[in-house]
Amino acid sequence: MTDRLLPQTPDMADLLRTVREFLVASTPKLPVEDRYQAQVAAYVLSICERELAAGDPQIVDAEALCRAIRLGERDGDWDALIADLMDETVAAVAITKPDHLAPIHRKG
Amino acid sequence: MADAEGFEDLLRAVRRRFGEGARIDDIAVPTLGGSNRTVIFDLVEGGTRRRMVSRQETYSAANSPFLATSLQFRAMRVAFDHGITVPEPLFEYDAADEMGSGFVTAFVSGETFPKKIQTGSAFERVRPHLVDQLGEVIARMHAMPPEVFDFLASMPDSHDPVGAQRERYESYEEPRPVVEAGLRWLERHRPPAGAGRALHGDFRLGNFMVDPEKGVVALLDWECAHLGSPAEDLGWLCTRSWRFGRPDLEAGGLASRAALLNAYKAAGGTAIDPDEVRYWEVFGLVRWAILNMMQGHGHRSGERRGLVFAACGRNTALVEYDLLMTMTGRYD
Repeated sequence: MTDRLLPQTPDMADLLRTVREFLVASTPKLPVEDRYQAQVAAYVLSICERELAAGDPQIVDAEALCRAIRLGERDGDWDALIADLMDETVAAVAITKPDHLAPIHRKG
Repeated sequence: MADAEGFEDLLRAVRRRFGEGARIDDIAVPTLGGSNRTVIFDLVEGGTRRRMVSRQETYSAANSPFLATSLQFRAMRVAFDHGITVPEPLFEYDAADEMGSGFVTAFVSGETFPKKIQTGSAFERVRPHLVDQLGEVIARMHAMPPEVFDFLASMPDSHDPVGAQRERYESYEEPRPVVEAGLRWLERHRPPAGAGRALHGDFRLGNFMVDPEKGVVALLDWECAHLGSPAEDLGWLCTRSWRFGRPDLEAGGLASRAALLNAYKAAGGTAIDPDEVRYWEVFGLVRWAILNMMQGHGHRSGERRGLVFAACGRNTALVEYDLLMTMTGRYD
């Protein structure tokens, strides 16, 4: 036994994509009442693919920030706060569902 | 003769109320999912038959924002008695039915699916009139003497809607700075509290039964009825998430915000400042973000796991984006 793990192929991104493509291709063959769940499943896998490509997220102390906002400590620099939150949210939406972003926030 | 197999409980409940000669026929179970078991059936008594809908609650979270079914039934009854277009409430299940909590209403046929109503060719003729009908029905609802909803006065949403959202948000124990900022914004921009009116509470595309000939024929889903500012109901209808494929048309993707306010006023409603409606649209986005958190929380906690609930949790970020864009005036 060894802890060493050699890179295996196909890699995780490829596996996710393959399963998603299978789901998309199979959806029309499913009974109507199951198609919605299949579409959601494909969507969830696409999120995983984008999250994997984006790399590890930066860890933010959300709890401390939330407390400061709640107590009104960020009222004085509100616009800067909202600008920061916008950047983080755009990054989150770019992973979850890039089409949801307004053109000004879309990449490429 | 229809096969009532699997629906023996429903047949028994019907016979307790309509006599042993009654039977059920033409049973359909729509695949709506969610937290209800819904059964559509014909009640046959002698030579007459009437189509009905049974709704049973199959899941209720401890911190659910939704009314108990007995209160929903009562709110529908009050609205029906005041001539609001709502499916006629017929009877409630009781302990002897052994069907949990739920109720039966008259069946109203039509379409609820937003995209079909917004773009389907079958609805071309009624589509231009929907905003007038919606303005009228909600104006009539708000014109009811508010005392008829006294039984909802103790709901947190009835005395402090923003506080009620904050309480739910905190119960999911997931710190989200954008939701916090939304709540803070709502606390700092609160419009003066007007006279409390009976509100539908979930007045949005998807909860309207629309007939291709007659237009709006029923207001559905009374799970969020409460007392509050009329602008809250109008703001929920205009909330960006409920415009579906037509974000440019503020009123449910069907018409402009101004057209809705005009229709509301023409039907006897008070004149409402569009900025007050905008406030409630920001509220609507905060509320919708928190409802998505609730679904995600149900999934993560194991109370109610499922693909759609997991996706809802992730979709919270999409609502947060719309919230930030709206708060900063980039979306209207």
